[in-house]
Amino acid sequence: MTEATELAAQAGDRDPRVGLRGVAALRRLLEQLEAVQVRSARVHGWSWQEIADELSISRQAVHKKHGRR
Amino acid sequence: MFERFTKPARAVVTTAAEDAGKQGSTPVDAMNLLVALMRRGDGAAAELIGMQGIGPADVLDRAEHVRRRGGISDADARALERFGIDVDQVVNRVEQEHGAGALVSTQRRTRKHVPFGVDAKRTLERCLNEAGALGDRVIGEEHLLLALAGLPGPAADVLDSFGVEPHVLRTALRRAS
Repeated sequence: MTEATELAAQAGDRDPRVGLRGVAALRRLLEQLEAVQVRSARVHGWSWQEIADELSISRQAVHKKHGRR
Repeated sequence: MFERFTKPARAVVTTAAEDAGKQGSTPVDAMNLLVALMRRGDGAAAELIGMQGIGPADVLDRAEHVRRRGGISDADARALERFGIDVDQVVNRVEQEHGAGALVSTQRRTRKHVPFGVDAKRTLERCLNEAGALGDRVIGEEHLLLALAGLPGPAADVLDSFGVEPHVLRTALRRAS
């Protein structure tokens, strides 16, 4: 790697756009992972309250998002 | 806001909402709109893509790949790599535990009323701006495609991976008119 491309790569590492994109992508991934895990818990017979307790959110919030399925 | 949309453009929005209803608990997103747009092989957007030498089916394939990965595009995956997260490894683990395609959640019952997500709403709003900038009074599929290409997110990433950027589309549209 030449000095110039190395510098460019370092600048890229600090590029806020890439960092923000990573955060947005992580949020999307998190939503999908949550859906998978909640579904799995329901299949295993967990109540909405038990799931809500583990996720540290209200039972209403979990049910509103993942209920009716 | 749909009064200015053409019949095909409205049909695309309806199809996107139906597709989202068959999926998990997620709202209608920009990717649903892109897929609906490309599925209409005879539509204005597919034609515009075709003019760039790209088949709508190829765009659909790549969109499906992103969907299987939980909505993470290749550009997203590279950004997550910077955080030390290997998305493909995450997906593999989830699929090992919960079965193939686990991140593509499906509903047992199709939802009737699917809300529009922030990115889908912004896409529809952007259609108006794009049409205005081109001097078009009616909003068609080409404006939907233009809006999707211009809003950062997985749908724009898929289009960008084929070299479909907003300025390319605008040039093609100006030439055609």
